[in-house]
Amino acid sequence: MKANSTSNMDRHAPLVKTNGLCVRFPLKKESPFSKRRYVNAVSNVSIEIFKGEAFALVGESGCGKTTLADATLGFVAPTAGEVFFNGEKLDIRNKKRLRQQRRSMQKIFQDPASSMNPRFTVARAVAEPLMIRMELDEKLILSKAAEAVESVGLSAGDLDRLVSEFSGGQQQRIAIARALVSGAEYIVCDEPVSALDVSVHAQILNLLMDIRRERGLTYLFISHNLASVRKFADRLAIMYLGRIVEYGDAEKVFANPMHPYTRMLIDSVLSLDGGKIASASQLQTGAVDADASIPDAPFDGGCLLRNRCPLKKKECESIECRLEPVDDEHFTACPYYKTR
Amino acid sequence: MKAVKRIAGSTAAFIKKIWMQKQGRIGLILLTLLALVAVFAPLIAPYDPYDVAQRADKGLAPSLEHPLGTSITTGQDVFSMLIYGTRVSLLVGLITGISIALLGSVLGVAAGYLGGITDMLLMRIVDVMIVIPTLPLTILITNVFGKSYVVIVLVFVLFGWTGLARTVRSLVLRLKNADYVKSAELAGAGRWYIMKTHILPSVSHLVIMSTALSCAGIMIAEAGLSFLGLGNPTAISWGKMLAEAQSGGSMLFGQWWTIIAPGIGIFISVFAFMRIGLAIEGILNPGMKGKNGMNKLIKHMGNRYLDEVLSSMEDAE
Repeated sequence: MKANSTSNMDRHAPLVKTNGLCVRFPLKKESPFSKRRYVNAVSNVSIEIFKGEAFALVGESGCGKTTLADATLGFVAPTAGEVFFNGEKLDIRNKKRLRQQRRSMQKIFQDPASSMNPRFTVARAVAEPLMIRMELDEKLILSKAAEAVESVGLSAGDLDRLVSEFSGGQQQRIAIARALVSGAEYIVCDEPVSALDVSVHAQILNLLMDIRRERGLTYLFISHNLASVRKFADRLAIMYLGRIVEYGDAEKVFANPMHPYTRMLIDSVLSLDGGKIASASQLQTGAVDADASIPDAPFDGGCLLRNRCPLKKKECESIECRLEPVDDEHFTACPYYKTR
Repeated sequence: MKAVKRIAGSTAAFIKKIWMQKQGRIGLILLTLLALVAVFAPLIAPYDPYDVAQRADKGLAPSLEHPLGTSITTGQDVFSMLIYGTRVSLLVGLITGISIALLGSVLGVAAGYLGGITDMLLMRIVDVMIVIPTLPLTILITNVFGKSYVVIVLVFVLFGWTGLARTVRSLVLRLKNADYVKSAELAGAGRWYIMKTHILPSVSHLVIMSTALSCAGIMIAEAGLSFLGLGNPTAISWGKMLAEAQSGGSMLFGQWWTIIAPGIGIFISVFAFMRIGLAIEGILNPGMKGKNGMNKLIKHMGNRYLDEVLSSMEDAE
């Protein structure tokens, strides 16, 4: 059985909700007279992350996963659309309110060595979010830091050592303690294990899962590792070039992938027994040419995957790909899923 | 106050690190000696060179009474002048070096971290300052505002901060995209907190090293200005001793000691600062430590040197 079957997810209250979210970044102009071009990092994304669930965001590098996550933290301004946190809109311009809302959010970065100041002691690194708030006195902050450090499996005696003295896995534990200390309920885990040794992946993932169960946290889990997503996630969204191509219950998506891109991802995972890439859907490899592939405006026609898709049809040049329900917990953006 | 305490603490730890290296220890010992000489000059020097009544015959050769003879133009005791000259050289070097460090690092951090209009304005000022030929302008300014050390220090600081500010800015540009800065911002940290806690401490080593090097450079520049007759005419400095020896024709009369003495003073103090700079370099960049470290240091003094250290720091990360 899936380890997260005990999760305390509440389907009725989305903690984080995006509504037609678009984020685009301007490219440098080639000449002063040329039209400004943009990279649409996130195009028209509407997702809901429920309280207490682990929501995974899967896709290849550069597809906009981190931008989407940063937008839910109010870290990147949306070009269009909106983000709601706990039912309240995140307003980037209202710095004061944003600061208050961010108290319930935290992010765990990919590389723990750079996400904490190497000059800091563990105590300072973990306690920093509380120190910045300047509400509690130092003693209380330190005891909270000690508590958080112990809850991730390190000893309070490590508090006075420098962050840089620890191994990658331990540093990521410290980063997790830092995320916990401020009592955040929504934590973005941005590829939390991909910078670590394979041998500690399971440890860190299990730690994250245990903590979630104990504290009822909500995770947005960014990954390109399908194995860990399968183990970890309640629901997921598959992203391709800034769009959601498949979205829904993790078990259902893995059992019955509807979008050709999802199939490619699942099929491209090396299987241990076979030892080779199962090539049922023949992923057309090739670099993601973000500049050429992402049109200036959202939905100017055609499926974005068409040049790599093994199931390409003539109509793919002009169709509009919108998420359509397969059933009420599973959505796909490929309109031809029924015909296959 | 806490920030001050922390900076003091880390400075003490850093000086200890310098002391742990042979290069740095030599530099620190020499610098301490020079400082003691400067402070206790009236006790060490046999005569008061500022006292007209204590002047002897001009151009006397070294003797027990006058260990380095007397000056050829005024008849002051050269050894006493050398001792008193330490004060001017050291003071001008240190005050200028530290002011440059403060101004350069603060403006560099401001430009790099705040970005936008602040950055643009500061960097355009730097661009303009860098192309201005310093020496003619210094001559002009000292002629207009009077030949005092206050003016000279101000001129040095005015033109000295630009290189450091640029170097600090480039380091800050890299630091401000670090995940730990983002992470602090996410926790609600303001700009002031981030500059104070994350950015400034990370550039401090670079600033200390550049201070050691610029102190050495400023001392030479001060000697040069005094030699050209642009220093304070009433003060005794090593540069002015050289100028007097030159104008009085010391070489002509074979009185080499009047030239060697201030030369040795300049050499020792510059040597001390360079050694300290070299030790800091060893701390920042252990890979470059070695036989040819000193040569590299001399070769890359100034901005080019800082840039190289900066890029090797980048590599180390």
